[in-house]
Amino acid sequence: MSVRIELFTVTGCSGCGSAVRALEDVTAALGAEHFELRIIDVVEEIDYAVSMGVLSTPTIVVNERLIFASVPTKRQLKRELETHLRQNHVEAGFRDG
Amino acid sequence: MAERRIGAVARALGIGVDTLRYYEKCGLLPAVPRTPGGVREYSDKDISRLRFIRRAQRMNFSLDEIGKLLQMRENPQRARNDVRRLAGQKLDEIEHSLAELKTLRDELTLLVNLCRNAEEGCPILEGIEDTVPDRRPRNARARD
Repeated sequence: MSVRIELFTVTGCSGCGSAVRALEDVTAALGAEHFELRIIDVVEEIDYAVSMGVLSTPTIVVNERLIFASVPTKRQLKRELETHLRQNHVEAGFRDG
Repeated sequence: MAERRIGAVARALGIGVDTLRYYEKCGLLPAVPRTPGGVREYSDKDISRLRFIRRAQRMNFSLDEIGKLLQMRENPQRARNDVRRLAGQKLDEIEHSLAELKTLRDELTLLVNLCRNAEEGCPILEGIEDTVPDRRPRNARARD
């Protein structure tokens, strides 16, 4: 099961480009096949953004949990995504017995 | 509240003087003690009760419902079953309103933050322009 990453952005957002690049670099380094990345325009999907607790852009949600409400460093991002990868493996292990 | 006469209480709570008299007449407020000169002097308890009435009215509770809730406010342990049910139902309505308000607050916070942080333009205005039809007469639109 892949880790689901959602990046909430909007046109004209100053940090969103950096967040996209950081996410692309870190997921590539950890193995892009383990991740499902969706970039969401909050103006297009405002109800969904609000339901996820998004109050500004860029915001990064991982597996339906709001993790970063600003641009993280690559190091912070890597640490967080590694944690989710491990959790996903543990949950998959439980399911498979 | 230092001044407890009807005019001062009305000003402080944003209630009309006639409305204050009416609350007393219809029983929402017990008879307010008078000075020897016959002037009403509201107690802390009266003022607390009036604040409750105003809050409940802002939530669109009827005066009849407010009267029942005030009975419960006086003596919660001995409230009748129908009054308890009403209070539970009103509590549910308030919880629902709070959830709606929280969603609205979050949505507006997001929109305000988007405008504040935008390098150029404002997504709120762009969103409004996309959705609101131009209602000006056709000749006015043509001049743009």
